[in-house]
Amino acid sequence: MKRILPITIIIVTLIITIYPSLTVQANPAIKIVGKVITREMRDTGKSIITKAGVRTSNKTALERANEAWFARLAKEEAEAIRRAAEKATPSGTPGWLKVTIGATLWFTGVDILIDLFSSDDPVEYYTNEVKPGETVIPGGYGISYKKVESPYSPDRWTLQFSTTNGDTYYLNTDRPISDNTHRIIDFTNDQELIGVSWNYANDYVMAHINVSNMEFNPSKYGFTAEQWDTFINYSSDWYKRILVLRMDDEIRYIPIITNANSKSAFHLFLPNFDKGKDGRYISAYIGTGLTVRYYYISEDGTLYGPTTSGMSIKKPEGFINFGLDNISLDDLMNHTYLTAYFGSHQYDTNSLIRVISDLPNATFAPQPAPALLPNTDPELWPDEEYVVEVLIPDPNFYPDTSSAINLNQEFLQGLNPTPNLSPQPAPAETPATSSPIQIDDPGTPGLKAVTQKFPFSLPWDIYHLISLIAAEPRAPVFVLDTDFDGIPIYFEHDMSYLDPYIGYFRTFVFIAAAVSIVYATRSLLGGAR
Amino acid sequence: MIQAIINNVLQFIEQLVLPILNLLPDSPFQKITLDNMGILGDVLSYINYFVPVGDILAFLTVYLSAVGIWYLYRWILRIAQYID
Repeated sequence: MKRILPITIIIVTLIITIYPSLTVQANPAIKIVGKVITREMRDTGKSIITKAGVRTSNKTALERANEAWFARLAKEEAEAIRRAAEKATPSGTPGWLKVTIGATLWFTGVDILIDLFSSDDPVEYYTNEVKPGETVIPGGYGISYKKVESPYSPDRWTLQFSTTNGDTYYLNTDRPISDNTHRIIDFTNDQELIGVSWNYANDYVMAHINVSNMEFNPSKYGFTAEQWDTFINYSSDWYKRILVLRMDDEIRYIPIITNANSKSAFHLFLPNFDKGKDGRYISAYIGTGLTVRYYYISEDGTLYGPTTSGMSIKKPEGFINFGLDNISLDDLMNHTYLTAYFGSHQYDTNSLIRVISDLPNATFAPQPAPALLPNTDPELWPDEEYVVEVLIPDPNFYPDTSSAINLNQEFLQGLNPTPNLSPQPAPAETPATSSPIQIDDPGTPGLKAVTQKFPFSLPWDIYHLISLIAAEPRAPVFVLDTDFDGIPIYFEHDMSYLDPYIGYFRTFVFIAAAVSIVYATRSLLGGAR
Repeated sequence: MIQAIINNVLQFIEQLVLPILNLLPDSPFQKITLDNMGILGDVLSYINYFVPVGDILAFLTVYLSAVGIWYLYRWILRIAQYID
């Protein structure tokens, strides 16, 4: 016992000077340990006093005061330990209450129900631009979409829109293409489908959708409502709210225009300025009445316009070039007679059509998986039973080696590159078994003399030797390469296949070591006699 | 000012002591590395693959510091005669 104390003090002093960070991290643990040890000491003191009870039967005032102090200490220290345990939890740990509740929800499956009921209605996004009380859009808020089979045309499909108040609308067009009963929304023509509208469910006319003159296949195409837009036909002084649909797998973009003709729709966008998706198109409300002109600003800031053809303008060349270059949209928007534009046509040289994505609440037929075709290549070496390395040139393929070499100069050039006449020496490899812990350069000559000169360097030497034990872990490779009476024996076994799992094993070993040390504490601190 | 004086005094002492210290031999233990240990270096790496020696040593460090503080505390209390 007499030797343990000074040795322990020396080791702890050395360790504290070298591992300050570890002691800082140990502060909460040390606080708790200190308080628990205080209680143990108090109990030991009390037991000693109790054992010497005969002596203390005539207690002096000092002894009674000590007993009272120890009695109070127990309760105070218990409270202190509890408070210390609460304070000792680092601030970065998650809330235990949250963890407990989360685990309970997960086990009972309640979290799934919560997700189901709190999921965002995908339709609400599309109704953001609809103002309260607006009568332009049939149905107003809460519109959902789905693809349905046309009840009037077998094997034909259309889009059905349902509102929260129970109304149902079907996609329709008042621009008949084939006959008066089947209105086809044709995606092939490079023209704006301004005649497409919604009709009420009791309308006997139903539209179906064609793509490239082929039947619309719902399993192949999906629709989604991208946004609400406003189409302004200033020549006729009417406005329509349009629903911009997108269809997947195709560069298609179709504005589906409603049949509302309310001129009050102007109020929808007057206070809200919208430059449009690409920020190029603006509409100008010129003069009195409802005359609207359209302008287009190209990428280099050239202003084109005005034009009276509304959103059906396909290309900038259709506009009149004002000759105003490098004009900014913001400058133009500051004119009081200009209004906001709600258009997002993306004109390209091909067509008006753009990418479409899946329809919300729609289900698609699963795409067939690609068939795995058999390998029709002939077996190159049908008689061979195992794979061999084929050296090039292979006489099986290049019987005439000389001609093969002549014909494949470029290929062989890659194999035999021009030799480097002045090669740089390869850098020395850093061995993997070097000690990962390096002693820092001491710096000053005085410190260097103390840490590296023999008698004074012993503490640092002990640290260095112990650090060697903590080597870089490597998977064992057992190699046996020997010769038994002329018979060569070679055996190699690499255990790197354990790499994904060995971490768990090491963790368990660490936990076992920590628990062992905890149990050994009792005997180490003199309690197990 | 005082700091400069103290620095100068320490440097003077250092210049006196340093030549004597440099006469002492270098520590032979610091030349020992895993590369010099041959097969033992590989074996230590393999042992560390299964047993996290580094982590256990770090844990022991913290543990020994706690034990040391306990001993110190007990020693102080014995001096103050709170315990036997």
